[in-house]
Amino acid sequence: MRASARDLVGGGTVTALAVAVLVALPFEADDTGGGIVTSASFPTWLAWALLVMGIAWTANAAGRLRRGTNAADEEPPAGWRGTLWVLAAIAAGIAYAVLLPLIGFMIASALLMAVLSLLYGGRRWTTVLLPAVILPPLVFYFFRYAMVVFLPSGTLFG
Amino acid sequence: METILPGIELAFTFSNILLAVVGLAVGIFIGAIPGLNVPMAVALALPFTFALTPLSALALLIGIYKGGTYGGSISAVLINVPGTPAAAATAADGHALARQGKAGKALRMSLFASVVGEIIADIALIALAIPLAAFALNFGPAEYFAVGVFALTIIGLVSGGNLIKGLIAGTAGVLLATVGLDPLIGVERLTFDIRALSGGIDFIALIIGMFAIAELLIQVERSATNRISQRIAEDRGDDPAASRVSRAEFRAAFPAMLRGTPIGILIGAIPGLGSAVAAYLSYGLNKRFSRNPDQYGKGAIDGVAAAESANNAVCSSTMIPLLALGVPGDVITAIMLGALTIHGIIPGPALFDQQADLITGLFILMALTSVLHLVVGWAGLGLFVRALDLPRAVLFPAVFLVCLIGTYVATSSFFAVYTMLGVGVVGYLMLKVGIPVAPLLIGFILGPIIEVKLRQALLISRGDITVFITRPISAILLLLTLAVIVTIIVQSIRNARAGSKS
Repeated sequence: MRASARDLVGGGTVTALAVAVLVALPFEADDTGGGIVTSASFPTWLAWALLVMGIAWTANAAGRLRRGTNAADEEPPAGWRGTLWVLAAIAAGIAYAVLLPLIGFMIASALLMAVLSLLYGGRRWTTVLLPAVILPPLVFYFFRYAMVVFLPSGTLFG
Repeated sequence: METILPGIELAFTFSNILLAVVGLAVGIFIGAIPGLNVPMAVALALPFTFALTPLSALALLIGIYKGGTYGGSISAVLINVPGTPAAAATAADGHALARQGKAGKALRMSLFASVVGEIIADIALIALAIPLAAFALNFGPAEYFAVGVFALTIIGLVSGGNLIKGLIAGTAGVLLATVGLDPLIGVERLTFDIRALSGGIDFIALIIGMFAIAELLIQVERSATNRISQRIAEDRGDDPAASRVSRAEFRAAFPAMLRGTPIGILIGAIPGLGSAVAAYLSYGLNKRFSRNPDQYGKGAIDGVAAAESANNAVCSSTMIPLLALGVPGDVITAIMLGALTIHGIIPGPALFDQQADLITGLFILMALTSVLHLVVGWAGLGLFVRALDLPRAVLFPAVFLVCLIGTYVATSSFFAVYTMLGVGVVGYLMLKVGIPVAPLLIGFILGPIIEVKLRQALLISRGDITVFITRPISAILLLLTLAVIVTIIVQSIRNARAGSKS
């Protein structure tokens, strides 16, 4: 995607989010608080400012697209593989947060480390498995004894 | 004069020096880990101070405070993940230098600037504690609001040449800061009936998500397309000369430290603003005064010096309202106030008369800790730089894990972990469409100060908006803000015209 098209998507998203906040604000903020600036008016001003800037950004990007003054991206696009890897990393993070209270810090962290290591290009067992086995206990005992913080040990195994 | 010798005697003991060294080492270590923050480390060290003498207790706590504030810059430089909010301004140029193979140089400059900032601020503490505290007492809501608005102009300077995208990010940051309970009347705003949001969006989750997770996602995308080498160090093509800070570089960056330190001293002396505000304010102003403003954000060594000197100067100057007025300037000095009280020391103007030896000893100890900071920081430098020799497939998963668990530990909430991941995705998308993330953080930090003080000032003045221009400090700050805004707009128009011609 070229820069102007990307700006068009970005500007459109900001505009849509600002509209969503403006629509939600009457239900999500109480217009009390006394004085000129109330509890609701401050975020409302901000949402209006975002809306104006979002429209300006979108219009600017649309104008550049129409004129054909479309700068190339500084970096080549991610491609489907890059996007897939990013989604996999996010999924790994979410799965970790879901599994942490169930299977405990040690196992969840070892799994996360191994999966992420593969995503970051690890191929040898020394880079994929070794850190996954060594680091979690180190972190666990550092927090337990140095920081007096008890990390989840998991409910599945009692 | 008669208090100096007893003060030196009190400060220069083996146990004080040892505790300061331990505090510095612990602080640097904790500060360098994203999610683990300095207040947490100071709070954990507090029980250990009960058995110590008051000065020994303060040696440990001040060591952690100073070391931790500097430590945040280590991960900011090496992996673009600020260990502390105060180090976020350092990340821009520090990490750009690391990408050019000059991580050692950036870390050394960060250390030098931190120590220079601390030493000058220690001197200011000794010389100006009472007058500065009295000056800070003149700050009412109108002045705080004006400082907040003035600091917000930094957005124009850190927007990387695209003002509108920077303003969008900054405004979004202020808007995000309004989520949760209204700070004045306690009604919920933009929480969508989610109970966990009533406390607002967690700051730790936001900073780690926006900086660390977004960067880690960019890295995973690059590794998928084989656009990076196995080790960060291989990208850098290190040569030993690139790790050193030459005398000429230090001399060139020294004016930035001299400009940054007074900003840190002033911001630290005003309770509630904090070192992140000082760092960004100093970074922005130094960019404006720099001979090479275009280099800022691309690896300007004086950018690192500007941010670090200011944020570490805050460590000393937050002691000014604490000691002179008994008012803690931030969370850390609030914990220190507790430590002092436990030892039967009640800070305030009377303390300077009643326990002059102790105060002199404390001042000497502050300066001594700053010197020891240089030694301890220098000893650890090689170790930190070697972290970049680890394979990416080991380093980045470890950082990812520390971010997740650091957020959980700091907040004791899984909701904050999900928030951090969500913010990380937003940060990643922002980077993809070219929106800088730093202005969002600045907006998030300054938003509550601006809103609360604006509303308080208007309530006190019964809605009279002239309150902001009839009070001299507020009027001067707002005039400065106007001047900066006009300069930024003129500069943007010139740049746009130059761009269209070329």
